[in-house]
Amino acid sequence: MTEISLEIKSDDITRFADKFSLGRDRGMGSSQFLRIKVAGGILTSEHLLAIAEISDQYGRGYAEITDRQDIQLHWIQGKDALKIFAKLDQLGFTTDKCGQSFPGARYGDTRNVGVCPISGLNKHELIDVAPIAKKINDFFIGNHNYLDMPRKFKISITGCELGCTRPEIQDLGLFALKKDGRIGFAAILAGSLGPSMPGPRLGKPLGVFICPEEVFDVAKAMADLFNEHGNRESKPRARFKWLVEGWGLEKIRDEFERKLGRKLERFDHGYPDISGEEHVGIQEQKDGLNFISVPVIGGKLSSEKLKKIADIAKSYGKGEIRITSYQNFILPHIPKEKLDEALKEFKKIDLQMEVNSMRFVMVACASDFCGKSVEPHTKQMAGKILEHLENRFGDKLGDMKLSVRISGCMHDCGLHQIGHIGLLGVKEAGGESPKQFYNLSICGELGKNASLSHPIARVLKPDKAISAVENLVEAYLNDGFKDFREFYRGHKLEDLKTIVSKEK
Amino acid sequence: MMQKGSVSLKKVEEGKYSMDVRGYTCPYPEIFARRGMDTIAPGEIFELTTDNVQSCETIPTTAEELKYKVLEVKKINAQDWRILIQKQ
Repeated sequence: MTEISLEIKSDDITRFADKFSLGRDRGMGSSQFLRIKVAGGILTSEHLLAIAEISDQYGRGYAEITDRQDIQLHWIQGKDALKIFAKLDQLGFTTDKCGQSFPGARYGDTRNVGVCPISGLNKHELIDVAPIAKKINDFFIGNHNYLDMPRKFKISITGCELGCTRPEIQDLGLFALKKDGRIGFAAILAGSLGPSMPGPRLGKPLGVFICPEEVFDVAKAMADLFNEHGNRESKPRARFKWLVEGWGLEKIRDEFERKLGRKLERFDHGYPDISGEEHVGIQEQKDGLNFISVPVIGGKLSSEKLKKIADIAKSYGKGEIRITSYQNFILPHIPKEKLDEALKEFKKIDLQMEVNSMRFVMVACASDFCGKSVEPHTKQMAGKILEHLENRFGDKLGDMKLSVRISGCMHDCGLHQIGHIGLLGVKEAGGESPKQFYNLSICGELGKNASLSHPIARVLKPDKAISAVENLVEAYLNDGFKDFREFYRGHKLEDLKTIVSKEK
Repeated sequence: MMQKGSVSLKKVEEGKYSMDVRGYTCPYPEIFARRGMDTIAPGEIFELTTDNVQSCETIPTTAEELKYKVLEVKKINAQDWRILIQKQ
């Protein structure tokens, strides 16, 4: 038989294939999501309006801010994808490549570089990292040499005083510091909360001082090291942490410097003193203008709210919006005299920033869409817990530093292992109507005392999980400890278990 | 390297065509599959090879929406799946 081969039109596909893809959903009637990378976490009002319109047209008017400063839409259909990609391309956006749908250890890309959302505005920052992050993002996005890494590679960078980009749980987490009067960066390597081997862990300090002009080369060399030596035989062993554990820090540093082509200055450092905190409230910028940080529970926003936020940004600021690593957004560049009016506008759409600190640092994953949970899903739990605690404790919550984080599964997209109180969803296996339960762990935190959270209760019914959180908050408030870590250390495990299980 | 470039529809036997979209992440296998299925005649069989698990859900769903018959979705080795669809 003569071979017959028909060429299938592919130029439009080839145009987008390196920079755009859809990820897999298995819940809420959605089969595919679109994760729009917001480089630097910075958007304009026009961007936000366009995303709202895409959401209206293709995603049921719904959007989520992710904890990697992306905006995620659901219910996206493959047949509409090229039209959406064309629109996003026009706006200057790209998406995650979502290589996790492949069974092998390959097709990993660099994820959106996590950046302090108030870079360049922050009066307290050591250095504006936005230009560095942009250079890194611009290099890696769509770069064919970095689209088939063993798995995803996560980079973050911050020059702020709060370590808001969580360097301890990145493949390469860079944070600014001062050494002998010089401003530079330290790096934490191969932290990860997911269960892939060798399991969840905080990263390791690299032990070098990195000058600002060296950061891009460092990021490239580290990605090259992973790309070349990461495990390609086994997907569970393919994350950077496997290579770092296997080689040990010394060999990693030697090989990294070989890639870099030079030795870096040795520097004995640990984690940042303060890390994993959010920029909250109204604050004055370097230039005398102000920013408003607005908490969004679970990052959930309707397209109508997106449009209104875009409008407020234009009317009261400079038409700029920044999104944070805690599923919130920040409206910068607001003159002092316009602050009250802007706040009133937010209130009209049920977005308020004059709330307790807990709202700013709560994180809940999208387990409703990925199909890992049944009701009550993690974002529903987040809403219920906040409502419950606010009704019960009201103003007492105030500025209390307490993070509640909720994940639907062991992959920990909701950061439960670094929450003061962490809930991990466990779905009862089998049966036609599976039931949802939650495991509870406490005292996960980042910074100089960083540790993953400690499990104290298992398989709680959702209402019991909410009561358990309430009991812990009550005990914490009553005991008067200076922070949650002290509260944890001040109790024996058995006492904590008793507190958690106390019946009303 | 992630696959890039042209994809062709090969006639493997009378009434049967195959397409290999390994290396493409979603939604591209589905888009290629639609174009492949548009090209063949009713009654003919379309065979697609993919290494993207997600496509094993989206492509059969697409085929069913088009009222085509999904004959098989089968894992053929550690990495790859074969999807067989008959155009109605």
